[in-house]
Amino acid sequence: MKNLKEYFMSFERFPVIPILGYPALPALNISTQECLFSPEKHCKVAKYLLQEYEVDAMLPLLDLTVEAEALGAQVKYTAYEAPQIAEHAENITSRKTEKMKAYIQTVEKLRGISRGAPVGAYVTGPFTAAGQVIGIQKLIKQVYIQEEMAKETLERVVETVQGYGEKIEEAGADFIIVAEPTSSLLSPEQFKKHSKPYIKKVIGALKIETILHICGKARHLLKEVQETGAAGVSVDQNIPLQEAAKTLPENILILGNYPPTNLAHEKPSIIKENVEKMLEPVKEHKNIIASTGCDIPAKTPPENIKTFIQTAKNTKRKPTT
Amino acid sequence: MSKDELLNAIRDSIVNLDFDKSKEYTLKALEAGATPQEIILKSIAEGMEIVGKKFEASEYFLSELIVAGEIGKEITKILEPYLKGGEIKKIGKVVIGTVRGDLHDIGKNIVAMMLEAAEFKVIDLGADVPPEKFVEAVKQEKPDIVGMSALLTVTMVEMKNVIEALKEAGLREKVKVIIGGAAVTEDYAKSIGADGYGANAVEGVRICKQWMAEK
Repeated sequence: MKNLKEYFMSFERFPVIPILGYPALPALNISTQECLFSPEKHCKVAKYLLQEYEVDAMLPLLDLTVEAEALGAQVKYTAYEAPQIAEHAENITSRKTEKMKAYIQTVEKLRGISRGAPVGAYVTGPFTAAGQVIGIQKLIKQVYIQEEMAKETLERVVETVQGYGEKIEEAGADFIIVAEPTSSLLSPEQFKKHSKPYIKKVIGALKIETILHICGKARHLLKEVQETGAAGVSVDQNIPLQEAAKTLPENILILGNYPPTNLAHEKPSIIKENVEKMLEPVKEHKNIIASTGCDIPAKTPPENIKTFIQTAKNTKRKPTT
Repeated sequence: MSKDELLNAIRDSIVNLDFDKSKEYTLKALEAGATPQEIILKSIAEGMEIVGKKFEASEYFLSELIVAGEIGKEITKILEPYLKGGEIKKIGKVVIGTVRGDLHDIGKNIVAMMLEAAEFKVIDLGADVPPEKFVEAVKQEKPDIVGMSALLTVTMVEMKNVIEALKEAGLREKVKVIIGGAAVTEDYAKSIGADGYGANAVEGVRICKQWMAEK
């Protein structure tokens, strides 16, 4: 496909790419584990999401445990929600997991069924993946007290993340979302030292465009993230869209930032109102893509998600230039 | 350095996130005759309070709260053998945990460390804690406060279940309940009948201290 930025900036309405995946599982009666280990089922899920919700990009599920598992952490699954880390790794080891293979195969298959929609995929940001592998507290302690060890940890992790990203690119993805939520814990200074260089390394190794997703209280990092080489930045409700639009250059896509908590609990009429409120102040900016601040929980009523998407799609941009 | 100077030096090394210096000064302060109680009150509690203020002023970020908390924990470890069974007086007791289904414990750990530094006795139930375990801990430990954390939107509903379980066990009126975590909002806290909501760790600790002062 052509350039991702150009593509989404050419829309007359707001494009919509929510972080949406898990709500398809109960609807199709496919468990998280079944989906993540079977490319066929995962494709069925992605196809359902594209058709049922009419989103503007085809995406598999967001799973922040893929790289960590490949580096030695243990994963816990529930019926329909996102997997979590059950046990961190004592020592970092490197292996190819079945889940990683299945994810890459899924991306390969998505190409054929995307009906022209751009195909995206997720990788976990190096700092976040490192936190998943050894534990966030241990990683932060290394960053402040044993800097050399932090460097060693992150260098091992980035190798896996980068390799995984390259495989996803080879499999035919049009873009990659680098999910880096744990970096929001860092001060700008530590982000510069222990997160940004590794994000840059992952992005730099790819030919396709990337979107950096950094949820949490990340306001203090907004200036830094634009130097990672990402084509877009995805933020949550902690950063108002108009503030992101002011801080970031016009040629960087901005995705955000409806709170998934509210999407799961609000009435559709309220969601409609809030989506309009969210987009109204940024109508002039052609780099905004309507999204959620983070992953939408599996049990979110489909009607709520559809209201979010349709309201955003019905909202026209009013670019000044 | 005099004893008082050493107590200040420990406090400052916490504020400056200097692990090695904090240990060095703690040992020196003990040699100079400082009691563990003095170090806890004048160095750790004051140091963490300054760190908390810096966090609120956006001079420090969450990672710095974590490191300061870790330093406080290390100092407390050094002090343990000097306590000679004499428990340090606490201002209150908190049972804390991340709710069922949620394995994220970083937010809860930061709050637990900050509470300990603020002279609370903290019973940490860990992560993925079912309502029954909260109820059991309240029965056994008779805390003043129950603190719950959730990072995930999906697990947030468990907080309501814990409050319901406390009600059923006839324990709800015996404790104050405070909740926090990435997914939680003040409106949600109100809607489930929690007594307090901590938008961040520093605010959470402040609320707990206020409750104890009002007791």
